[in-house]
Amino acid sequence: MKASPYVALALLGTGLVAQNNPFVVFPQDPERQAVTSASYVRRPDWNRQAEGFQEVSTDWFRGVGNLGGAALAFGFYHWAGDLDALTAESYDIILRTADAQGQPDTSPAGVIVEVTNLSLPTDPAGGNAGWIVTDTFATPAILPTDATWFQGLRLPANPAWPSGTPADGHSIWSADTLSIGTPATVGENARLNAPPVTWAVTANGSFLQTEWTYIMGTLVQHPTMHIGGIDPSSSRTGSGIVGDPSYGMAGLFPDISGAPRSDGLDLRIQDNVMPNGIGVFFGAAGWWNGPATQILPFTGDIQVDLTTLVPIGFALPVNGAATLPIVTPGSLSPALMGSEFMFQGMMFDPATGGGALSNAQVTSL
Amino acid sequence: MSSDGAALRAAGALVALMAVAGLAAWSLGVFAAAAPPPDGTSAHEQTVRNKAQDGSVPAAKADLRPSHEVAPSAASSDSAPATLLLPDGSEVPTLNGATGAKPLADVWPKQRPWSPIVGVERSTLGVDWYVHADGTRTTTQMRWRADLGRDDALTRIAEVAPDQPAVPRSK
Repeated sequence: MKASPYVALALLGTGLVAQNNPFVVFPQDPERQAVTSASYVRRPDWNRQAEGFQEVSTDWFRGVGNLGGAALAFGFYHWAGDLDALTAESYDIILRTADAQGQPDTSPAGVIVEVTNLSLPTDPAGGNAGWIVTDTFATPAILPTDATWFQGLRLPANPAWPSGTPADGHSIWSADTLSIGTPATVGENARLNAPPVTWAVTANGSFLQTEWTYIMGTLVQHPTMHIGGIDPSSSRTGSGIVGDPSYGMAGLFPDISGAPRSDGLDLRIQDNVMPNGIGVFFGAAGWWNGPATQILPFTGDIQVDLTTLVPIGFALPVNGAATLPIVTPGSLSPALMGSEFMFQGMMFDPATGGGALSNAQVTSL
Repeated sequence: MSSDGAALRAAGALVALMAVAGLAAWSLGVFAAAAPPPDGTSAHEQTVRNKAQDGSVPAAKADLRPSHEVAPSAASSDSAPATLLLPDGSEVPTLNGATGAKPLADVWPKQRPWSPIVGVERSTLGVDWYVHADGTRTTTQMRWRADLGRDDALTRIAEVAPDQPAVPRSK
């Protein structure tokens, strides 16, 4: 993990910005949309103790938490299910680095930040409850700026989940991939051979790659940017709109095989810090692997290749989220399969001329 | 190409884009006021309304007072603030002995209208929570942070979400 003098500067600056943004990989925006794409609530390893992680791979994402030279985690966000709200459920927040094999590093040295023995509230009404939980740290944690890491929760074993008498236990809203083959009609919509992006670390330390995404993510203070995959034949978001963009795995791994899908793409930037800025997008043919590069006066580092960087366009946000269609469905040739394109955004403040760069994301065709 | 040259090229491209964006914004005149939600109602708000309507979440102060009400637990005698600034400008004591917690005014969800505190509940695990009129729970807690080498405060919010079915056993 890269610790630098910028960390101190970034920490000093944390009092200046109040609102945070959750970095969530999921088909919809849980802060601004009615969530209709959640297949189920899930636990990482059924009703056994386990850690469930979203992988923040440098192959897929760059600059998550980056505020310019340093990256910081301000807390954690997740959508919880509790099958018996009369009893409180405990959980831990856990962020880990990757080991040499690219798996979550379960050694003590692999812990980025761990906050144990948190719990959900109870509700005298009892029954099956859902909670949107935002846990904000008084002091942010330092994230890797140049390495893969994992964001997640540790849930204790609960034999009463999901069918005890009474049923009980903490779970997380999730979206199943197509390849898992559950009866779910809504969820992720990446191509069938897309790699899993979430993990479970079981109680005995073994690893499972899991075929779903969660509504959970680290709180960051930069705008978050995601790529949406547009499959005109799909209703997997459950929104009632066929072809509704899907911003989780479908943007990372769209299907342009032409057999039969030929997905389109759009870009989405979200920001609670500057919800009325202008969303600006740019793309490149690779990642920027040179020294950390800022474009003053904008906060954050450029993450995409400067030598091939191309401005894409801008969009006006509604309630803090702006989207920009960039590829019409049916227009990407199957000959592009295997190609990768990187995108990054910025929320530009027309009042001050300042702004903040987002994370960057790949679309892997 | 050197990184300096590349950076200059990127800066030039972005400045040009900014200029275009700025001109468009000026001509449209759309940045004077905050953009409202599409239908004026956030998904969260609708969720809570739905829950209140089906009776699963107390919707009024009177519903929250019975046996779960407890006095807020005292904060520790640290020099850090043991009060919590609310979005309406008022302050309440932090809960569960927390000091130095981020103000609720700073972290209350931007998409959710402020909802006043109407009671305090103690969970079955002994954690005190403020209960808000819309069913949201908030609290503060101290927790050990090995990365800091000390305890650190959390400001915690639990908004009411819809119920969701658990996954079938077979998968």
